[in-house]
Amino acid sequence: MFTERRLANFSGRAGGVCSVPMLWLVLAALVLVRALPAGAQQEQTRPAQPTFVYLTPDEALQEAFPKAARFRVDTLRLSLEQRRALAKKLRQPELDSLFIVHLAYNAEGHFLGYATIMNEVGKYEPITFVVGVDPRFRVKKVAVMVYRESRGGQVRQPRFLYQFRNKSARDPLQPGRDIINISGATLSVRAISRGVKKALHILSFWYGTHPPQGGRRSEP
Amino acid sequence: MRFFQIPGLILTLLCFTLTLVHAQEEGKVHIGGYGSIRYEANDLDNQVNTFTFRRFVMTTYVPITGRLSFLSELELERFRLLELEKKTEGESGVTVEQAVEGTGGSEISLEQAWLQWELSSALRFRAGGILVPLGRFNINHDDNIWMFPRRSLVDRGAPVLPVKSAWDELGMGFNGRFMVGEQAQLSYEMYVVNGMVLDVEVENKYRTRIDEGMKRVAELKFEPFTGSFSSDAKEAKALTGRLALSPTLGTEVGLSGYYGRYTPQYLPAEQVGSVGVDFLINRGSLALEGEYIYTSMGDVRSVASAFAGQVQNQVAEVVLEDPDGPGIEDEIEVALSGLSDSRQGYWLEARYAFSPAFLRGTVLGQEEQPLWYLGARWEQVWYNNLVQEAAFADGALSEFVTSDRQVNRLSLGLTFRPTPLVGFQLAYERTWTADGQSLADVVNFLAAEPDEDVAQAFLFGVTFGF
Repeated sequence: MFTERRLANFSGRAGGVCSVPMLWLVLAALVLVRALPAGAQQEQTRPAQPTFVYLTPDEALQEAFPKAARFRVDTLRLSLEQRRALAKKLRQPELDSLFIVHLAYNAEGHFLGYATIMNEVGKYEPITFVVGVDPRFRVKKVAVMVYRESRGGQVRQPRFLYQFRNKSARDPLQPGRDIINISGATLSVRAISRGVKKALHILSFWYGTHPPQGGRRSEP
Repeated sequence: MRFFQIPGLILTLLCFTLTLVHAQEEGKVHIGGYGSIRYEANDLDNQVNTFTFRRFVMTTYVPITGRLSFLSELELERFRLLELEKKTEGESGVTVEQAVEGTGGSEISLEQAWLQWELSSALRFRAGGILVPLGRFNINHDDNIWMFPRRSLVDRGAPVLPVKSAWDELGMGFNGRFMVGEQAQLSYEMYVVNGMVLDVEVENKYRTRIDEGMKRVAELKFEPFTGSFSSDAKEAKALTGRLALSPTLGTEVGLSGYYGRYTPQYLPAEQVGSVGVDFLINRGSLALEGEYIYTSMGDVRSVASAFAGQVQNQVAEVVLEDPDGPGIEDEIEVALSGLSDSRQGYWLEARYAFSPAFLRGTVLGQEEQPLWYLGARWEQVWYNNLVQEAAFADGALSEFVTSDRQVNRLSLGLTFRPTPLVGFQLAYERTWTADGQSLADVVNFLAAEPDEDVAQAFLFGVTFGF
């Protein structure tokens, strides 16, 4: 299960209405103090958003491949042509040139699959999640690691993430078609669908022609 | 006194704005919204073909802390302008001038505004203007998430809901959700609210007439409205709630209700009770969704009798003669509206999502994952003893006419969504009543003549959210 770890939530409030004239001024002064830049006030500890870290990178990799004994990090460097071709396929404006993949192996050295950590913007903030993919380029596991939005957190529920299981790059991975949308979390649903699709396309494109050491084996 | 008030107010507003800007820079205040614009062409004689800026709703969401949050929705319905001018002059007496300038059909309303304290995901306390959780439409009423440009009959056009959607009430209560195993989820909402009330709408009419002079009519229309956000004059709170089970993601069945007094303090107590059943089923590209609501308003004849006893006379007229001209006729008229012993209705909607391959290389395929939806909605509403006429004089009902009515509607539509929050909607709808009776008395969105029992319309809508 997920390890829920709430980092911090601190906040102040301002505002209020009073009919007594002098209180207007007092209130205005208080609000002004509140509105001043942080440097002009006494030191405060307050993060911008309630940020929830559910899994650290190590925990996420273990979540994706519980039987893995070791992970090897592979850094893919996509050329401009490769990025353009993938972006066209994914119908996205651009892709990063670097893509980090964790190759999972069990204790006997058998290749179990690929895990990659994605960051996709939901409504305002990036959602960080791990995508585990088996050697046949089918989704094995998706788990949310960090959720920074204030609404739409239902996307981290197993019942939402479960529907990505066994999806491949051939599937549309489109909310409304093969991915069930969550009302009130539409943009988070789309962000995760987009990230999973991107991971599948890049992994199958790269490793389809360059299988990793011990690759093309099913999980024992 | 004024010296302190005005600068204090300006300073406070200025600082409040600064706070909002500061808070937004920190990512604390989320401004969002939705809206819909449509063009409608129909075959009724008196219904114009027109563009309508149906609504624009500004949403503010503030996560004050991780557990405390505030949400508000301010709706501008068909709104463009509201201007108030006021002038007082003290020369040879005091002259007061007041002018109100506004656009027709316009409305500004607070659709919801509440503070929520999340003790846990299973127990959240909510207080403020809260959407009444009756059925599934009212709590998910944002225009941009629906397939059709017009809201359903049950919720809006021929409301079976005691008050047409979006219906909010002032109160407080709890909501939450529990996971039942890995897949199922149980959620609930339960609130105590001031509750809907038979309230008055005052309409002033000014009419010029050939050879008869001017006529001024004040119509006091008593009909069900959202309850007070000030003080509940009926001193009786209402209870509302919804329990929903979602066995898997994308499927849900809900049971909901509302119960409370709706007559004001000066009338005998009469209760309104509603129950609703709703569902959603998603299977791949196909979605089925529906809602059934039953509402009872008790014995509306006794409400009308008591109302007549209280108001005494339905109409009062006076003619002010003018020896140099045709004079002025003044009339005050009182009417009861929107009442029936009971009413029930349902809507069923089916929609299919698809993405045509041949459009992917065209301008319609340029966004990341555009989707098309083909859909149909079937709706029926029945009224039992719908008040058609309640005439009274000297404190007694002189005429009380009710009838059982039915209205049906079939809508077919095609919606294109370049992105999930934006939709371009094309719809055909056919609305008709039973037994050849006019549509005018049963729906609130068509200006039908007495002999018009069928209406056909084409609508093109643009809806957006952000």
